[in-house]
Amino acid sequence: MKKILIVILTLTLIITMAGCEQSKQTANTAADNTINEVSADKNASANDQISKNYDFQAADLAAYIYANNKFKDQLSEINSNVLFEIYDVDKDEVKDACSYFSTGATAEEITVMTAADSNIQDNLAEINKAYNERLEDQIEAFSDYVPEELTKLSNPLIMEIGNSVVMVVCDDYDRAKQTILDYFK
Amino acid sequence: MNLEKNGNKTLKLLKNPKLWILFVFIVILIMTLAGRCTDLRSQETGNTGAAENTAVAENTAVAESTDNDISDSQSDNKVNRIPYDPNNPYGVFEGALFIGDSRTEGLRVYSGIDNAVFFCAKSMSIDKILNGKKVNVNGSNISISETLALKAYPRIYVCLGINELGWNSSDEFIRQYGILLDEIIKQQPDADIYVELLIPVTASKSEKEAGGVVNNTRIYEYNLRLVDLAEKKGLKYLNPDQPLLDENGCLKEEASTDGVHLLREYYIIWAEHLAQITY
Repeated sequence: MKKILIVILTLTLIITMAGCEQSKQTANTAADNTINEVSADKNASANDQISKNYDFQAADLAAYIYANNKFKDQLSEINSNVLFEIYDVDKDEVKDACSYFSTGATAEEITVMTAADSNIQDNLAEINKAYNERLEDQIEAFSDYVPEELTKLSNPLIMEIGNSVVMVVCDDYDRAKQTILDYFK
Repeated sequence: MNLEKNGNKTLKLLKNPKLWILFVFIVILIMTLAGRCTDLRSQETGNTGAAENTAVAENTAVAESTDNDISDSQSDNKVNRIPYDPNNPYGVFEGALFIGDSRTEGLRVYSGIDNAVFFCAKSMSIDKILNGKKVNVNGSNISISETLALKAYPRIYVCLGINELGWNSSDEFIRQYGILLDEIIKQQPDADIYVELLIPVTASKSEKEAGGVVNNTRIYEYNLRLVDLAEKKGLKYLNPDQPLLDENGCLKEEASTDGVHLLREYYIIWAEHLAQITY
């Protein structure tokens, strides 16, 4: 009788603990999937490229992207001092920069940065790193704030154009990419 | 004799290893099930569950800060409080600290205030602050205690509550807000501390949320409680919403895309009015 009881209790315990582990794993997997999609971009540093180096103003490109894409929220250009507070990149690593942020209601964003001429490759790497850190911060912020925004945060457009890197967070990835390609035609 | 017999029986049972194994399994099972029940209760109560489970007694991350954390600059009791000057409206914010949520983040990003420190983040709430949430302040991820220990602030503006409108009652919000204010007073005894009342949402947002929580009735209730709290603590309170409202006392529809957050030009209006009414 005692043996039967022991077997029954052991089985119950195993089933209960397996349930806990599964739900924990499911939660971790969901979070991991979101982070991994961004990390995939981080490893690639950019998910598209225009190799030719064009001479352009970051503000001009950012304004063009904003004017030629649909965003749910109103985006506005932010002050460069604020830009360098929010992005973890030194001013001497960046020759030119412009960023459009949302009101806070969405995660939509346009950021254009051109690497400073000294140590261009290192500066480009720092810019890419700053972009990915910004994405991670935004994912963390929006995950319990407006979780629907995680969809666009998990698929940002990060494009290298010569010595510049552009990031666009929006619903229509393909349109954003085409807009940039059109700008440089 | 019976007592002796029963005693021997008990001794025999206690010496039985199988019984001990059974006992251990029962204890582990109960503990595991108890843990699952707690998780489920937290999921059901959402934000309020987070509030209730928060360690907000004197042992919180905020309350654990000691006078040793205060830098030498704070031992100087003189803080330079610049009065309002219409020719330099933002001068009043010189050296100030803003504590808040996504609306304060919008203020930081768009208002043009560049002479103050901001401790703010999206979805920021009282319980997160008291639990030691770190945010980027001047390039470092630090908690509110560490932010308060950075330097002496002449003015500190606290604007929290939008993310707590969903809590079961305003009592817990006010209780935790009080703990935060006490900590600010303790670490910044010479600062002018302002409790900023919540700016209403748009009429359309309020109507949409009539059965919910992010509506102007709830905001009005919270604001009354905030006024009461500020007065009890001997602190000042500010209501910066006047130029942002329509004729019905709601946030102007044209001021927001989602009914809650402001467009850039309205963050500037908010900042300018806040500067003007700071006393």
